[in-house]
Amino acid sequence: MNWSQLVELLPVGVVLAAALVVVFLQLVLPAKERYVLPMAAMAGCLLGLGALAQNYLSLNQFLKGGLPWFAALAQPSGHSPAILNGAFVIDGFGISIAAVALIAGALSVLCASHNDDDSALGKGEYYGLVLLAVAGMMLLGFSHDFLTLLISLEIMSVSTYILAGSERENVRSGESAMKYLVLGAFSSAFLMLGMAFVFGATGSLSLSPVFLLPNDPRNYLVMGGFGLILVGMLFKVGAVPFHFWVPDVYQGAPTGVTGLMAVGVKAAGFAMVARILLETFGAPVFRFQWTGLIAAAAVVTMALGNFIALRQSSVKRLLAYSGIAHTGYLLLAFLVQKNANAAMVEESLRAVSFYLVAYGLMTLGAFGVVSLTREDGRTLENLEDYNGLAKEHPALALCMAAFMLSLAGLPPFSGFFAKFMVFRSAIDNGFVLPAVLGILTSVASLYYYLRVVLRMYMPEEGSVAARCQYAWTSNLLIYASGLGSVLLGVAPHLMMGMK
Amino acid sequence: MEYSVQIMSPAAHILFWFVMVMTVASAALVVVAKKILHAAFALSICFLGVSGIYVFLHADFLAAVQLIVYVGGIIVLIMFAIMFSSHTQEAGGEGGRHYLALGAGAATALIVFTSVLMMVGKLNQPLAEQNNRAYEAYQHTVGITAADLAAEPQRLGLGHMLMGEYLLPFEVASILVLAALLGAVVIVRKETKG
Repeated sequence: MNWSQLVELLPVGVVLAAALVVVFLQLVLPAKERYVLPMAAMAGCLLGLGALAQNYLSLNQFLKGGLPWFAALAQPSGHSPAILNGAFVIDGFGISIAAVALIAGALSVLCASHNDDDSALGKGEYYGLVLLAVAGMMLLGFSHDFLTLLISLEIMSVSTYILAGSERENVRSGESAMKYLVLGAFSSAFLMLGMAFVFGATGSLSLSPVFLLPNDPRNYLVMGGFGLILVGMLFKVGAVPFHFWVPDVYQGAPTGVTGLMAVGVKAAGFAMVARILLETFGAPVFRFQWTGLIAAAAVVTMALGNFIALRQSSVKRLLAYSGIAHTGYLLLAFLVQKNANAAMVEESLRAVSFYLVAYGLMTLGAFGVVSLTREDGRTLENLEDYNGLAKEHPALALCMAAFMLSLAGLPPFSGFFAKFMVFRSAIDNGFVLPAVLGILTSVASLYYYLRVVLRMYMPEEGSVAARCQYAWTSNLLIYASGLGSVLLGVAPHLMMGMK
Repeated sequence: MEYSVQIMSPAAHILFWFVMVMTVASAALVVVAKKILHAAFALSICFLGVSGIYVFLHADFLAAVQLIVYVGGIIVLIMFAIMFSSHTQEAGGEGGRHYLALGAGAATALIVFTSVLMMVGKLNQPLAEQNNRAYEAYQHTVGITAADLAAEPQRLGLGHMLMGEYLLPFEVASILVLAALLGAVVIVRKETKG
């Protein structure tokens, strides 16, 4: 094994080191100086992004350059050499997942940083666990064999189980952690059993494509293993029939953690889905069998997520159901036709990574707004709390409106382009019906996103608009994600290297 | 170590079925036991049975590890946890839903069991052949002689794997332990004000 290749994993190493530093600082610093903890965590994320940029550059050089700065993101997997005996692969897709994880980590640190030291959310362990979860997500994005994939997944999951329950005086937070732990462990068991089956049939842990002759009896073992893996993966990304945990867990967890789960965990989960579906089981004989299943899951997920979201009065819960719906849209990108060539697979990977970045920014921004505290001590969690927000905080309301319209997929924002790419990928591959159903549910979703916007700009009669108090860090989080959402919407070629 | 299909003696056959039934029955007991202490005892028997399965699979080293870590360590930890925690809310389940859950679990287990049985029935032979092939290839790459392996087959092979090809995942697993440790601190620490 060539250990000098470990350098390629530097971004992960930086984040891990930052996690240790933050926990250590918590021990040695007096209570008054603990305001440096979020700063240290933030610095870890930013340094990680820096190291990741170095990875882009070397990848670009490896691909003989010529690509615009951000376009290396959209490079398909397999172009860069697998490192460390094929345990990890540093490719454009992995880098984009790692970038989403780091951004989610940084923004969720910002979201928690206004908590004082008394609460569990202000302590060093909280930031340490956020950083560990981010490291797990990054490793998951780069994983290229079942073993590292599973361990990275568990690093991410264990950290998020605990983060979900970190608000200890809140009963809901404990409930959320418990549900997440039990169902998460359950889905991991499915995943592990499936991997064991596939390993039993192929004798290899690698995620590289499985090739078996059609009459090979081991095909039964592979198909059984694939079914179990699929169940485990759909659990992790929260697709319908396996979505029950999402609303309760998202609602109960502290809002910063919800943001991290909705964005980072989902991105890492989709990295796993992409690698396993498009690479390990990407051979036409397998693709023929799973596209139908994925199409059905996507349609049901979009429909159910959007229609239940219509009736929610809690914005946090609404965002949870909207997250389920977006999982459905993302699944559409995996519908690759049976005899598709490498370029078409690449195109759908592009759609996935763009969607994840765009969805990440708007969702984190929206959760940033939800986490703000009103003067009467409540957070902006319920729909009625948004009455007249535009009068009191015009800039804030403008950002929230942008996030909502972007989530709905309206043109000037990044959400439009993300959905457009996904639908186009599905239609190009001949899956017209799922794409049309996706567009229809997307139109229906406009209703509940607009409800939030309407409350802010046209308050109900007799309602009192309350002022919020918030720290500059929340401002930074909200404005940065707002700016990102608009920027990716008006100039998507910045990231995609579009023709 | 021979990986060809061996035919068991009648005595071994009886022992095999005894271990299998014991494992499954104790696992079922873990689920239905009314008292958590009984469930813990049943779990320890289940772990013993799993260790027996490893013996039947010729994985002696793994069987020993299973005994030491699970029966010797984990079960003792669980017993301590039960001792130290309060038992006030123990009595009674939730009535009707309990049986529903039990039925659903049993149905799932049955489906998984029959499908595994069907799959394994179809490919018994090729898998054994393939294991033999993989084993020969592995001996070649690691560069240990057949005599070494004959003397200490599993410990040598496992050690080479863990400290060689799979060293990185092995090390990454320590991060997982770190996260769990940190989580334990967060969960059990007293809430202090100021």
